[in-house]
Amino acid sequence: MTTFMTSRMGRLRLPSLCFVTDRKLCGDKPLEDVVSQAIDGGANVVQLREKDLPAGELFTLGVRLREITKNRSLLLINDRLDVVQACGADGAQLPESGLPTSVARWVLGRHALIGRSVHSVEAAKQAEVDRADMVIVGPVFETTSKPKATPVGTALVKEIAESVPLPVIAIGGITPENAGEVIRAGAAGVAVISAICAAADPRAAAEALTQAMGEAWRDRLMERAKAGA
Amino acid sequence: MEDYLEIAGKKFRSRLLVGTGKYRTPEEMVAALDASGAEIVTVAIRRLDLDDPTKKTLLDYIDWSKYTILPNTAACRTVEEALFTARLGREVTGSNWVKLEVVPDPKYLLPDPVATLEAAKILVGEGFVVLPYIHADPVLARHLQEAGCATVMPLGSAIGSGQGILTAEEIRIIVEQATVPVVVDAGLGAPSDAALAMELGADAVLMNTALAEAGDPALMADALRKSVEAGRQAYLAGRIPKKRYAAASSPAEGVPGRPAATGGIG
Repeated sequence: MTTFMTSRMGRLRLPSLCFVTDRKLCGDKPLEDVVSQAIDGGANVVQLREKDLPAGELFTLGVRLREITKNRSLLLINDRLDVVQACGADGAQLPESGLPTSVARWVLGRHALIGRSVHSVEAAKQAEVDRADMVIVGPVFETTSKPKATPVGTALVKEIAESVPLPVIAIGGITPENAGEVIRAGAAGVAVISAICAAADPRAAAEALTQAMGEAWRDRLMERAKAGA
Repeated sequence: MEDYLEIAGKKFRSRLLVGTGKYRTPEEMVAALDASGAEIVTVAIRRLDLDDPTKKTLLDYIDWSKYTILPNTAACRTVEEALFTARLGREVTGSNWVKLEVVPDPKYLLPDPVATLEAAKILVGEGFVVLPYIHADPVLARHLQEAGCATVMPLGSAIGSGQGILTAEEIRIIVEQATVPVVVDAGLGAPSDAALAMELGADAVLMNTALAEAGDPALMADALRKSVEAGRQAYLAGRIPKKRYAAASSPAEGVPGRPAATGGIG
């Protein structure tokens, strides 16, 4: 049994659709517009991840996204805790090579939402001990965002979801066609980059993901409730 | 003074629990929850529309980092329905708390004591924190607390009726015997009803319609918050016993030209 409704997680509705930004994939659409449309389509977490930007530019963009996400979605910043604090984001997404989760928790305080990217059950367990709020697992499928990475498949999602009482967010090659499969494997949400960034209609893309994920999630809840799990 | 409501080991400052039904708009609900000072908010799991994942539900409007969610089994008529709804509530909300309601008849909306006790025993066995909604029946209340329920929730009068407390004597007995918090639930229509429940020694009250259908829900919520606090303070302070005859407020002792008083002392 997984308990998500702790005070921090109470702000995060599950299943979660997390939109991870990549402004270079947005074409001629401004990133702000894509973010706003993604939220309209059901994204409830926006993760600002523009690894090539220096702190100053990231901050400027973060402040703009904070305005757009206010009362509409959570805002996480990838890796940069200073930018989290500077633009008043809800928390951070720590890459596996980032600061230790326990250190990030100490820096950001107990109210911040902290996600950790993990690639093994051991790393997920450590993230829980270090008081992460959720873990991101991937790449689940082949993805254009990380073409060299070997997909871990839904098996690792399942294994981690069964091992730690944290929401597991799946990332990497997620589409409306396979989102249900990921949720059935035990994920509490999905994170996407190009599926929304590169879509002609980001809102419709987000809606399709929300729909597919939500249906699988509901079915899973119903099954578990029927089984008296 | 440290005065907490403690349910299943969790401490709360507010003794006003609130519901989420019947509000005219989500905005009015959010404002009323905020003004009520409530820390525990109950949600009817059967009334959540889970069919369309892209549609917002009640759960999306409320900032759950501020409140303890209390899933309830409203609209369940049988033990089986209540068990399923409690388990679904646990899956949907991630909370193992449940306000157990088994109400067979939609006209009177009175809780089924036999089914409630049966369902409560099963849910306690499954690790739920069970808060059963019951008629103000002191014997049933004892059975439920012995079964491991976290509270008992006797009604003041019929759900949504706003008739206030028609069960004062029974509630008094339930309070006297209680080893778990007593939460008066249902029928309370106004601050005076809430204050009375607290003066009777209830540990808390749960209110919904009184807020949701008030002309100004947030203003009423604020009034209720104060009345619950006032009622609690009055209970702790100890009210005077009721007397049959008047007793002068000013002492007659030593008033010139009068014999020594026999009654009033001030």
